[in-house]
Amino acid sequence: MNNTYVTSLKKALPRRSFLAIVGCTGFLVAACGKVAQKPEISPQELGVQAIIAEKTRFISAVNTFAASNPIYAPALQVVVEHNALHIAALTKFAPISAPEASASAMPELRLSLPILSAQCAAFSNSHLEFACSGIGAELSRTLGLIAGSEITHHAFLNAITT
Amino acid sequence: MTTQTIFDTESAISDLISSCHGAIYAYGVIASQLTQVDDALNAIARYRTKRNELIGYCVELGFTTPPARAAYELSTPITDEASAKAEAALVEESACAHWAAALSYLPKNVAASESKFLQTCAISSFKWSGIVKAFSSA
Repeated sequence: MNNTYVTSLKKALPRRSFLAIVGCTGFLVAACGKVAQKPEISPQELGVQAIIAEKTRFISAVNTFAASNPIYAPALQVVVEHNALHIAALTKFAPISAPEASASAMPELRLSLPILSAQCAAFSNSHLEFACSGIGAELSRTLGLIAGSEITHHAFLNAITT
Repeated sequence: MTTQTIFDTESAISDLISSCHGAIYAYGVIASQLTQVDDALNAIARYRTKRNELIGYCVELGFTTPPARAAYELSTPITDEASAKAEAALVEESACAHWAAALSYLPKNVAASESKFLQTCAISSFKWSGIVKAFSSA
C-alpha cells in the first residue's frame, strides 16, 4: 500500500498544528450552528412580526364572522384581501416567519361588525404610532399606507353596519 | 400634486406644503363642477389650515418655505360632477401617500398630528369614491 500521501502530510503538518486546526474548525462549526439556531431579531423585525401575527388573527376572525353572516361575506372579502396584501408587503421587513396564528382568533369576543370595525381603527392608530417610532423610512412609509387603508376599512365597515 | 425626493425633515415638510398647495388648487377646480360644494370647500379649508401649520414649523425650524405655483397639473380632466369626485378621491389618496412617505422624517411632536391628518385624507378619499384600497398611491 502506498502511504506516500500520509507520510508527506505528516512531514508538512506537525501533529500539534493539525490538532489546533481541527479544534478551530470545530469551534467555528459550533459557532455557526449556534447562530443558525438563535438568530438576532431587531426590535423593528419583532414589531413587524407582531403586526403580521395580529393581522393573521384578524383575517381568521373576519372569515369566521363572514361564514356565519354570509350577507356580509363579499364586503368582508375585500377587507380580508387587503389585509393579506398588507401581510405580503410587511413580510419583506421581517424575513423570519411570524408565529402561526391560532384558528381560534379572538375567541373571547362575540364577533360583530362594530367590533371588527373598531379593530381596524385600532390597527390604524397603532401602526401609525409604530411608523413614527424612529424605524426605517421605507417601513415607516409602508406602515403609513397600511394605516391609511385600515382607517378606510373602519369607515367601510361602519358604512355597511348602518 | 408635486412629487419631490424626501430625505430629511426639511424636504419632508417642504413636500407636505407643496402637496397642500396642489390640493387647494385641485379642490378649487373640483368645486366648480360640483352641485354640492360644501365638502370641497371644507377640504380647501382643511388643507389651508394644514399648510399654515406646516409653514409655521418651517419658520420655527429655520427652513425655506416652498412657494405655491400658478397652476398644477391634475390627474384627470374635470368636466362634470363624476370626474370632479374622482379627482377629489385621487387628491386625497395622493396626500395620503405623501404623508406616509414623510412620517419617518418628521419630529416626534409633529409626526403625531400628521398621522391624524393622514387618516383624515384616507377617510376623505373613501367618502369621495366609495372605494377602499390596500395602498394609496401618489
